[in-house]
This record gives sequence, C-alpha cells and structure tokens, in this order.
Amino acid sequence: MSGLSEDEILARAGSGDKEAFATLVERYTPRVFAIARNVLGSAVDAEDVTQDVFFKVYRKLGSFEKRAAFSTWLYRVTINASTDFIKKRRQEKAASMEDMGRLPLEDPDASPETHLGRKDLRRQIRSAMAELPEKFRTILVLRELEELSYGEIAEILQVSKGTVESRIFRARARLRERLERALKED
Amino acid sequence: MDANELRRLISLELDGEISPEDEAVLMDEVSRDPALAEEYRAWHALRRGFRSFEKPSPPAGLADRIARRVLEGPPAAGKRMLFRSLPAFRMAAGFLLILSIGGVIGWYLGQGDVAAGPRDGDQGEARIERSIQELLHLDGKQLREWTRIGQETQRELDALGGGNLAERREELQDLMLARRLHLLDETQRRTLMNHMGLSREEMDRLLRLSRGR
Repeated sequence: MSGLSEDEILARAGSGDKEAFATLVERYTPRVFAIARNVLGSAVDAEDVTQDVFFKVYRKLGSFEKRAAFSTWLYRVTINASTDFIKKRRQEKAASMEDMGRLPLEDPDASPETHLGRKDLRRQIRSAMAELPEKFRTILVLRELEELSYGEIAEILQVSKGTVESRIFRARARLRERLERALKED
Repeated sequence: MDANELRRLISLELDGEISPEDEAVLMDEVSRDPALAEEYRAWHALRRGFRSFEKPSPPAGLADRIARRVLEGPPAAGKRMLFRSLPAFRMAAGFLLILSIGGVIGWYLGQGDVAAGPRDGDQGEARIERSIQELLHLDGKQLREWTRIGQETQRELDALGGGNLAERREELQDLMLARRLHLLDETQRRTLMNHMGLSREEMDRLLRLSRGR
C-alpha cells in the first residue's frame, strides 16, 4: 500500500478498501491531531476530534470530489470538527470558560529547555492564544503553525483572501495586545 | 498613512504578501519612527515565537486505534471516553514509562478508581471513573474490590526503587489489570476486551496471570 500514490489510495479507500483507509488514517493522523491540538489547546480533546474527523472522512470519502486537494478538504473537516467541538462543549457547559483558558497551558514543550526566554515566550503565546476568540485562534494556527498561504487558508475556511488577510491582521493585533498586558502584569 | 495601516503592512510583510511599493513605504516609516520600529520588532518576535513551537505529536498507536474504531462502525456514547483517555492521563498519573498494551491498559484502569474520587484539578480522572462505571456496570462488591486493587497497586508502584523500573512498573500494571479482570464476569470482560482492542489470547494470558498471584 505504501507504494501507491495518494490518488490511488483515496480511490481505493473511497470504494471501501479497508486497508487503504487505514493507510490514510496512518498518514494523516499526525497532521489532524496537531491542528486540533493547537486549536483546542488540549491533547485529550484533540484525540476525540481526530477520531471524529476520520469518521466523517470515512462516511464522505465516496462522495469526495477532487475540486480541492484532499489535504485541503481534510483541513476543512478538521477545523469544522474542532469548532463544533468547542461549541458543543460550551453548550453543554462541560468546559467552563476557565477550562478553555486553562487547557492550552498543557505544556507540550516537555524537553529540557536551555533557552528559558524562548520557552517563556511560547508559554505566553499559548496562554494569550487561549484567550482569543476561536476564529482568531484558528486562523493563527493555520498561518503561524501550519504555515499555510493566504490562498490555502481561504480555500479551507471558504472565505475570500481579503478576509483572510484582515482576520490574520486582527488576530495578531489582538494577540499582541494580550501579550503586552500579560507582560505588564508579570 | 496611519499607525493601524502601517501595522497592517507589517502583518502583510511577515507573510510575504506585501507589494514592493508598500514594502518600501513601510521600511521607510520603520527607519524614521522608533515606535513603529519597536512594533515591527515585536511582530517579528511573535513570529519567531510561533516558529519555535514544536508540532504536537499524536500519542503512540492513535492512528491504529482510530482506523480500527472507524472500520468497526460509529462509536457508542460510552466508548469515546475510554478511547481517548488512555494516553492522555499518563502524565497526570506520573507513569512516564508506558510499554506494552497490557501495561498501558493496566495503568489506565489503575486511574479509574471509582471510589477514590478525582484528584484536584484532574477532571480527566473523574471522566474515566464515570466511563468505567457506565461501561462495566460494576456492582458494589466489584467496585470496592476494584478500588482496593488499584490502591494496593499504587502503593507498590510508589514503593518501587532500584533497577529495571520500567519493566517492574509494567509488570505491576499488567498484574493489576489481571486481578481486576478476574473480578469481572464474562460479559464484562468481553465488553472491556472490545473497547480496549484486547485479543482473546491477551485476555487469557492476563487471566492466567491473575490466577498465579
């Protein structure tokens, strides 16, 4: 299966080949998990969302039209699933606002860090990100962490490039404000 | 050009989306205005901060578990918690060395002391407790015994020292799972087996282990 192209794997998986689907899951789980983890701020929730994403992919793969790249479509499904997850959590009040702020402080930088300043900056960025509205956090994850272009982000979020540009700018400005405030409080 | 417009240009410049004309304007302003220069440096520092993030890695085996679950069919309401909770609370428990499937499950079940109550700040454990109760429908006697085995194992784990720590932890965790499996009736065992993806052979091995204790 590893010798097959992505198109061939997609075609096989779409027609019900379980091995092909498992290969897709294997190949894309790291990316889906990373996005969900960064948007949600919690590894536990990211696991749930990753699972949901692949349930959706499995159901919809047969009808997947190649108007967009599979990876773009998968990003979109992941962002939507993460957003739905946040909304659901809010509705259920299973996660209070306090939780939503606290969870991203899970520190994935577990390795010894000699450059304390940089680690502090990362921590502060994570903390400030957690306080941003979800749409700002999402767009910063796509741009800053996934390093996607404006065009790719526009396609994933199904908005214009102008909206992407403006939203990224506002998200950064908001993030910087929060960081400045945090630094003053420190 | 006002300050906000200049900040917008910094954002575009960061992303390589700025036009040459706007870039020239921006750089000129930055060279003349110390406050803007400071702003410019701050936005670039933010970018460096982001780029220093390490990409989060999924827990080991996540892709396999997802593929298996998806191909088995949609999850029942109670399945999600167990599925997701397994790797996520390792760190909280302080068990840093997770080796075999048995070890992982043993640890996982060890955190589900249904009568122990959640630790401060660890809502995950409370979720696991509820999940286990819902999943296995433990009766009062099973619940007490389940808890006792967990506490006993925890004490043994806390007392561990010397060499081969990882291996001995794993053994203890396997043993805990084995003893807990022994409490369950066949239906409960099958339920657990399905949820955790344990093979019949693995289950039998663990049951033999529990009889040997």
